Amino acid sequence: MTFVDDGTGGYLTLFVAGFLATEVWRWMGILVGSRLSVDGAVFQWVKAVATTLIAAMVSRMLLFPAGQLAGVPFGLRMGAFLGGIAIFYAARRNLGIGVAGGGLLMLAILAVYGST
Amino acid sequence: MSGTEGPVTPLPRSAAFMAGLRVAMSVPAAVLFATAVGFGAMARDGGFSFGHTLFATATMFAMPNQVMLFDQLARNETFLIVIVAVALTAMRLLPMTVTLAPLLDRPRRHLAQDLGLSHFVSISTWLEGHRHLPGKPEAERVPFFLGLGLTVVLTMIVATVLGYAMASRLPPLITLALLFTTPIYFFLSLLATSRTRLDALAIAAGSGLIPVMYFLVPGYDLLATGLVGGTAAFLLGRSRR
Repeated sequence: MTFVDDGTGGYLTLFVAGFLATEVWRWMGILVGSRLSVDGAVFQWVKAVATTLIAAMVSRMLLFPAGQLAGVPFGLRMGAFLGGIAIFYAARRNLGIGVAGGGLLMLAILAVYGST
Repeated sequence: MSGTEGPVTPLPRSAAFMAGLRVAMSVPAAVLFATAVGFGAMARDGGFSFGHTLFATATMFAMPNQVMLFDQLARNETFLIVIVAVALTAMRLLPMTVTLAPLLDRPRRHLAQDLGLSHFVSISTWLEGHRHLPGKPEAERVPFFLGLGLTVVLTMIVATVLGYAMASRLPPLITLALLFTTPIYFFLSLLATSRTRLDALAIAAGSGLIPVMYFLVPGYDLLATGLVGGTAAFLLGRSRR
């Protein structure tokens, strides 16, 4: 990682790209307040871009993982992911059961195939 | 005068604070806790120090943004790309703060206090705030929200530390399963909160475009997907209504 070479051990980067990039929207929410209509087109676009970004980030983590997950074969990652989605819907869209189910499925798949 | 018609006497500030704390403990706390454990494990997997990890949870208090920040940094993306990706992901906090602020202070009397309290706006506290604040006397609202927010932040910090510590001590198979829960949690929570055609289109656009952009515009893949896919979803989702 190169961000730790910013002269502050990486903390300046985390402060600016993490804290400030996040907090500034909360401050703006207080400052502009009710002068904005939250049902308007601008906020709908904001929500669409944020949702797309999170979906893209998650898909990239699964398709092209950066860390240890890269050691798990592609087919197994996708199998556990799609299985987790199936469990989520089978449990009437229960988030806790879906996440736990997906994690356990990954564990079971790894135990069977012994990829590590 | 029976007294039943008069205004309800508000709870003392400390009692209102404790009421917020109790709500925080009853929120889908297990799922929130597990997400932060996953973040801690992911941070260690990505090579981040314990201090970096703790700093991010304490100062950002927005899990999707923290995962975005750490995933981008672990991939050695440039500073500009990282900050734009985090800022675009965090934009959703603006409408959330706009709708929550009037419940805490209207008309505006305490700007500094409001700016401080806004740090505690996140998906979980926003949902619980909207559920509980409107029924409370005004004097109880700020201590209640502070109790709620501080408790959720502290819970997330504890869970992050736990995840970071566990990631090196657990058997590799269990660590992998733990790392896997982070992407699946965020994808399922998108599905769980998707109500409109626009939401569904945005999820499809993000998942479908990223493999294309990954090879087409390496480095800018995430931003290109977010801006192109999100704008396309917005246009399609609006015009067909």
